[in-house]
Amino acid sequence: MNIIQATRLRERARHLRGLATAMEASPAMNLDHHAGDDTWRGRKPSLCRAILAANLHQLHAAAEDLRWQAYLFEQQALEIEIMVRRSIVLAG
Amino acid sequence: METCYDPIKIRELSRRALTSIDSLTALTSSDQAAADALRAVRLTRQNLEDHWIPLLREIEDSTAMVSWLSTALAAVRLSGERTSEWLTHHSPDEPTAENLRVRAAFAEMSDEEVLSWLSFAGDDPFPWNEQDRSALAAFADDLARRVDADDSFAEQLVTLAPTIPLIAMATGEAAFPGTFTGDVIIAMLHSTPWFGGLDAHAEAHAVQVAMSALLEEPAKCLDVLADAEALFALARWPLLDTTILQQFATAGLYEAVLLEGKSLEDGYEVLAELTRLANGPLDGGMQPGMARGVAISMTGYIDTLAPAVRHEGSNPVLVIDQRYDIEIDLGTYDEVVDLFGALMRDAPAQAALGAALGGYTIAVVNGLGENITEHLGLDRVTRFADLLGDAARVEQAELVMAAASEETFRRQLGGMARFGIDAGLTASGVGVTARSLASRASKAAVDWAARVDPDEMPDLGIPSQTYDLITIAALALVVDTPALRSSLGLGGVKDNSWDNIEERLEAVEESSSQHERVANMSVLNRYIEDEVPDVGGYVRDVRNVEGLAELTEQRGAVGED
Repeated sequence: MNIIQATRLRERARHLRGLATAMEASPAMNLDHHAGDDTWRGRKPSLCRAILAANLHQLHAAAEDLRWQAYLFEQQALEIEIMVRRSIVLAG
Repeated sequence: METCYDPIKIRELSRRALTSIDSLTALTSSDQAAADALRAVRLTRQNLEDHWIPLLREIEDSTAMVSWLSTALAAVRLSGERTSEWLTHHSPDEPTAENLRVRAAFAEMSDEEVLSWLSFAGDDPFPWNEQDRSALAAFADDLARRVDADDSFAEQLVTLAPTIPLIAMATGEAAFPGTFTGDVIIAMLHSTPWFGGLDAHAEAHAVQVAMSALLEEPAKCLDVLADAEALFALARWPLLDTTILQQFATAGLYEAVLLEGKSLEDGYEVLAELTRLANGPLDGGMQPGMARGVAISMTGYIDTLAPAVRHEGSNPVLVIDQRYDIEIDLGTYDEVVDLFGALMRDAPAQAALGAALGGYTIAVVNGLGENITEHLGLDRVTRFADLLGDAARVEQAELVMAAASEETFRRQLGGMARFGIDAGLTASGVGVTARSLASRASKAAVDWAARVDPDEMPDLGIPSQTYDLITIAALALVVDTPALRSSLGLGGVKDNSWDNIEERLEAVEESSSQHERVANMSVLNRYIEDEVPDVGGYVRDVRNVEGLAELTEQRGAVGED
């Protein structure tokens, strides 16, 4: 275990958080707001809305999973950094 | 349910959908931890590309848009303000003289007088000038208004419907409540089936008109199918148009459940009743439209039905779904085999079932991802393939289904959908529009069944095809998703080896005949075993799933069992 690994983990965490933010900022996430009954109505539009609702649920869940994974990476990085510092102290 | 739209908002929605696709395409990551998230992104993008954009383009290109534009521009010029109007998809014709006369005549009648007039009209399905359908539209509008206003009037119409087909015909010309139209269909189907004569054809046509009208409300279609007597009549009435019946069955069994997950239980109740009928009065087969509708709908049931297939013989097929608190005994294994056997008497239904199995196999493999060698769920594929194999051999239909499970046919369906059941088992999610899937599947199945060449039939049946399909899907998974390779012990495989595997996979998928496919599979298997042992080990791990070895047993030739 070394500080480079901790740095790499923190980079990954930043990347995953950035990806989660980018997903949630996508215009797709509020496409349903513009696809209501006042825009189009009928069986095909209803089916399109139902499928998009499921997709958006999956996207939101995926973004949360990314943030959780990022948190775990950050915790791992912290543990490595603590161990490295202790080893430096002991060696000193 | 009327189909209508606001043209200006449709254009805005179209623009936003395209922007959404671009933004989703831009989301990338080489981090393995992001694989699941990118899968969800890809599914959403595919949904927008495959279904939203085509539907929006279809609406934008329709003539109704052009008509609206000229009217709207005039309105804007006159009023000086931006307007937003509703247009029905089917613009009402200008009322004819006959339309106005009929409308005026009925407007003056009381409900009792209308019922008397209907009784007098008798079983004449069209008592007006047949060249002027606007008279029927006027009558239908008046009837719909009365049905909406008075439940007791509606009930009396439902009672008269079996003897007065004009009532059912009217449901195709005006916006009646879905419950009323469904009750009319059920009432007509409860009457003695009509199997011949001019009256029988007229009455079948009237029922079909009502069924077509009800397609806009899939939940009501499911209500009709849930009526046991109506279901039996639909499943055995030869005069019904095959396509309309298939669309109706798919609307009820598939679309209704896609829109409302809790309806899955009702869908399974219908399948349980069909299982009972298939082991009884429908043992000789069912109306092709019903068989195709059920077969196409299987794409949505297969991931809950497959786990229920555990033991053969007289053991029950017990469907359990905890999310929607469902527990349904579909029948014994042998009885469910008979249900699928009854479906398989129709060639396009055979093809649809084969494609459903193929798509499910791909979806399970892709969904397992790095867990593929743990086989969670893969054993369900093998058991279900075995059940279909048993049913097909009984019906001598195995070769047709086996060929249909090939990826080229499966790709025509554009992927499979399932009913809102949260599991890691399928990556395909709900990325298809039901009507698009059903119509494409039906057309593809009919086209494919028509061009089947007996000389091109595979030598091995559906279970063996599934064995190959699992192998191909497992390889495609790691070829397409580099992020999975390390966790599957394949991180050391060189890039040119992956290129060679991909090249050989493409050769299998592009095979122009079954014999060529078998040869290309052999080349692929040899290359992996001889040149890329790590990948060979991975494939062996995947294949080490319960029941898969049995799928490679040589089956007897058709008719030998």
